[in-house]
Formats: sequence, structure tokens, C-alpha cells
Amino acid sequence: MNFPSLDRETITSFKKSIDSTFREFAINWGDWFTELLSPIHWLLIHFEKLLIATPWYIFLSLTSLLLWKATQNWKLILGFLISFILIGLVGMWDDTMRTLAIVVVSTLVCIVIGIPIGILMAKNNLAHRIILPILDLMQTIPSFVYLIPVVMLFGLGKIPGLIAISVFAIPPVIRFTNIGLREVNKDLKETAQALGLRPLLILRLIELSLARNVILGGINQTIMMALSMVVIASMIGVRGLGSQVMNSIGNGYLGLGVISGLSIVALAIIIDRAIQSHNKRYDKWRDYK
Amino acid sequence: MKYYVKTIISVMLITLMSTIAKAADIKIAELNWQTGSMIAYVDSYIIKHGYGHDTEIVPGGIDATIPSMITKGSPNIVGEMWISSLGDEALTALNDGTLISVTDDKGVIIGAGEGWFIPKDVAEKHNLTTIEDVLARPDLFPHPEDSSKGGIVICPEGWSCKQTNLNLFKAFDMEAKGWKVLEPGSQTGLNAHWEGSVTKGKGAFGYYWTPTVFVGRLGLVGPLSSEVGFAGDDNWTKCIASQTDELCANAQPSQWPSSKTGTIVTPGLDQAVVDYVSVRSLSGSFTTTMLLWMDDNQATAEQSALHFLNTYPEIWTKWVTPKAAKKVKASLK
Repeated sequence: MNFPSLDRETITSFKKSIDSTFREFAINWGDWFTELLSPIHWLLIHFEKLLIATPWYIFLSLTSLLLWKATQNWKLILGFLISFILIGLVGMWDDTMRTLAIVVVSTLVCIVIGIPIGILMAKNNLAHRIILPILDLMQTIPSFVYLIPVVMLFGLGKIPGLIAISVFAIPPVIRFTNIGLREVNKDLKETAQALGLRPLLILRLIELSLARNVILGGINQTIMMALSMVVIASMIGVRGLGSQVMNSIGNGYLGLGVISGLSIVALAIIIDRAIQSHNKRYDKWRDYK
Repeated sequence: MKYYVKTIISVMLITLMSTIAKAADIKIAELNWQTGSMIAYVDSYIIKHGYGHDTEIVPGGIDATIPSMITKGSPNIVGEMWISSLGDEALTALNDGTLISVTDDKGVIIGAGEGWFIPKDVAEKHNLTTIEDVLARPDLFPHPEDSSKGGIVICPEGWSCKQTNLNLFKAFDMEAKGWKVLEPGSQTGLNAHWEGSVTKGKGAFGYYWTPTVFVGRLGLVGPLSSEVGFAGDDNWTKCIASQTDELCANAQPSQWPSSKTGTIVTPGLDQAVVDYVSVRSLSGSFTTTMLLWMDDNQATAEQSALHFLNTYPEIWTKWVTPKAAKKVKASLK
């Protein structure tokens, strides 16, 4: 027996009313939103141009220097150099730079928005109860559902790509900030209060400092998820390694798929190891096994 | 649509369907775009009720269907194949009789074609009728990432028409005329780009194909013709549409050729069925009407096929024998 569903006309008109409401919204607000995000758009375009225009040897030496400062781990730097030289040799350099640009900017957006939300969640139980299911929704809703509306609002290209990536990648940074702050020892906070520190100072000096590693872990997760969304973002015109993967899927080019896929993996592993290694160095006193 | 292939999924589904489903007399491939799948359901209904064969609809994309027809002889009928997009393997099979193309010159959907489109209101307001008219006004179609340039949306990654677009871009010397390529990434991106631009009343220029619900609903004009006309088969097949990694060196500007659609069948089918599928054709404007109805009602291909059979008997009764027409009509009651 069939489930007694509403008749087809009712369902159709319901679906169509969603369509037309959204169209109306896109007409009235599309340009406003595009304008609002234009600074990020500018940043995306120019950061990408900068990365591509930087000669490879300068990119490699500057990044190695940065990695050394952050980790002092020569094995990691060796791994970075080898994998990026391989990427360059197989002709994926420009695409890797494009992907790196959008992942970096998306991660920045996630951090700037995510950490304050995480703090709010840690401080306010009502906010915690409201935001948690929203985060679940953002991580589970199939991205195709919001890809189309986002492109209708913003047009093709980097901004809708950034939004698609950020929606999927922001939950870890929020969750980890929340957990990190909640795990800070209460006695320490009390002591700080007794010493006369104001709440904002307690937050900055004690809570955020102690939660630092947990939050960095969240940022790490965010970067990983941003990288995994690169392929989906390429479906709405974000160029980079993702579009190479799409190209290989569309044409059945196995070799290209492997090369571009492994390039994404290389990026992910290097970023992940860099953050972990930095964390280890930051608090050596912790007992890492 | 035609190049957009969920090859792996389709192959798996076809294999799965052909192994577990009980063997039907005639298997019909449901192509994964609107007209392709509606025609599959119309065929299935008419063949089943008019000619008394047991039919079954199997999912199919172009890339998966044709190899399956060649190697396994199943599915038996593929309704709306775009002849220009067939690969060598398919052409060889057509030549040696492994497959048979049964449609005459006019095609399954008359006036079907791909090419460059623009929204109707932009075309009328600025009096743009040819490719050259549009190319002279990049300011009307600003590129989202560089508004000083005009943006032309091309085919997504992995579609063979992407290279065609890039070659034409070069042939028309569009870079010098202030244009930049806008990559949609996928069909999802391409559709959303057209829909968003037209809804917001913005200019959009680039690749699409007809008949499609988009062209009807959004009021797109095209495929645009060119003042130079169609610059010869040699220029088109050996240069503009050739599938090499590099751009063709001396590409000449040309308008897009009209695309032929045809029905392809495996040998040994009931002759009455072959007679039916070889005359079945729809005009481009009627197809657009059907597509708009599908869109208005958000109907499935099967519902659309039934709507078509119920509402437009004057069209389909001409395709079938009077006896079959009577039987189909009786079953619709």
C-alpha cells in the first residue's frame, strides 16, 4: 500500500513556491551579496595571481623557511620539497597554486567566522544548543543542494566555490574551539578571576592560550575538509586541481586522475604534518607518545 | 547532457539491470537528459501497448550505452542519439551492421543543435543577431572575475565541446576583442550560471543546446549564426572540433553546424517496431512546448510521456500503424 501522500498538485506547487521565492530573493539580493563579498573576491583573485606569478624557486624557499620557523622539522621540509618538485614536474604547478589559494582563503574565512562562534558556544549554553544541530546540518546536507542556489546568487567562479567550501569546512573549527575552551581547567579561571583579570583578558591569556592546540587541531580538520571539497567546488567553475579531477572523470583519463588526486593528497599531508609538528614543538612538556 | 556522462554508474546499473531483471523482449535505453528520457518512455509505451512486446527501460548515458549495445546487443533501442558525438567505435559498428541507424535525414528532433546563446531581452534591446554582433559588445557580458572583459561561458571539463569552444574562441580572435573564457566546471554550474544571469537580468553569452527546457523557460536565443556562415566540414571536423590537447593552429571562424539526432537499434528487431522508431520525430518548437510542460509540472519522464500520448494523439498516431494506434488509444483510456 502506498503512503497517503499529498496530491501531486499540492507538492508541485509547494516545490515551485520555494523555487519562485528563491528566484525573487536572487533578483533582489544577488547584487547586494556580491557587493558585500567583493573584498574577499578581490583577495581570492589577487592571492591566486600572486601565487602563480611567484617563481617556483622563491615559493619553495619562502615556504621552506616558513615551515622551518613553525616546525624545525627538516624531514617535513624535505618531504615538502620532494612532493612539490614532483607536482611541478608533472605539470600541476599552476593548478596546485590555484587550489592552495582558494583553500588558504577559505580557511581564513572559516577561522575568522568560526572561532568567535566557537567562543560564543562555549560561553552560552543556549547558543550551544542552537548551533550544534546547525553544524550537523552543514556537514551532512549534500553540497549539490546548495551549489545551485549559491551560483544563482553569485554567478560562477571563486565566490560560490568559497562559500561551498566554507559551509562544509567551518564546523570543525567551531566544534574544536568550543570543546577546547570548555576543557580549560576551572581552577585556573578562578585563580585568574581572583587576581582581578577581566573576562576578556581571561579569555585571551588563559582560555585561548590553553585551548590553542585543540583549536589548531580544529583548523587542521577545516583545512583537510576544504581540500576534500575542492573537487566539488570545481563543479561550479573553481579552477585548480579539482577541475583536473573533473576532467579526468569526464574523459576517463585514469593517469590524469591519479596525478591530480595525488597532488591534493600531497597538499593535505604536508599541511597536516606541519600543524601537528608545530603543535608538538609548541608544548614539548606535554607527553606525546 | 550529451557529453555529461555518469559512465561508471551507468555501466554498473546497466550490468546490474541486465543481470537481475527478467529478460524483456526489447530493452530501451533511457538517456539521461529530458527529451532523451521522455522519448524512451514514449517508445516503451507504444511498443508495449501498440505492438505487444514486453519492454523494459534501462538507464543509459551515451558513453555507456553504445558499447553495451555493441558487445552485448542490449539495450536494443536508443532513442535520441546525437550522431555528431558518436565515437569511432560506434561509427565502425554502424558501418559493419552491428548497429543500425534508422532515422532519416531530418532527425529525431528537428532543429536540435548546440552553439552559442544569449538571453532574448539582451538580444532585442541591443539588436544583436549574429555572433559578430555579440563579439563587438563585450561590455554587455562582463566576466565575473574581470569586469573589464566580456565573459563567454564554455563547456564544462570533460565535455568534448570544451575544445570546440576554445578553438572557436581563438578562431574569432576573441581575446583581442576583449573576451575571456568563463569555465562552468560542470553541467550544474552551467545551468545555474544561465539561470542566475537571466533571472537577475544580466547579460550572459556562451554555450548551450536546444531543445531544452532552459532555452524555453529562460528565453535564450540561439544557436547564433555567424556572418561567415558554416566554414566547411574540413575546418570543423579536422580543426575546430578535433580532439587534440593543443588548439588548432589555423582555425577559421565558423558558426556551429546543426546537430543530427538519430535513433540507433540493434539488428533483428521486429520490423514493425523498426518502422515506428524510424519515422518518429518531433519538431524543435513542439519539443520546447513539451519541455516547458515538464518543467511547469516538475513531471517525471514517465508522466510526461503519458501526458504527451494523451494530449497530442495527432502527432504520434502518424508514426504508427492504424491498428497499433487503436490499441495504444484503448490502453490509455
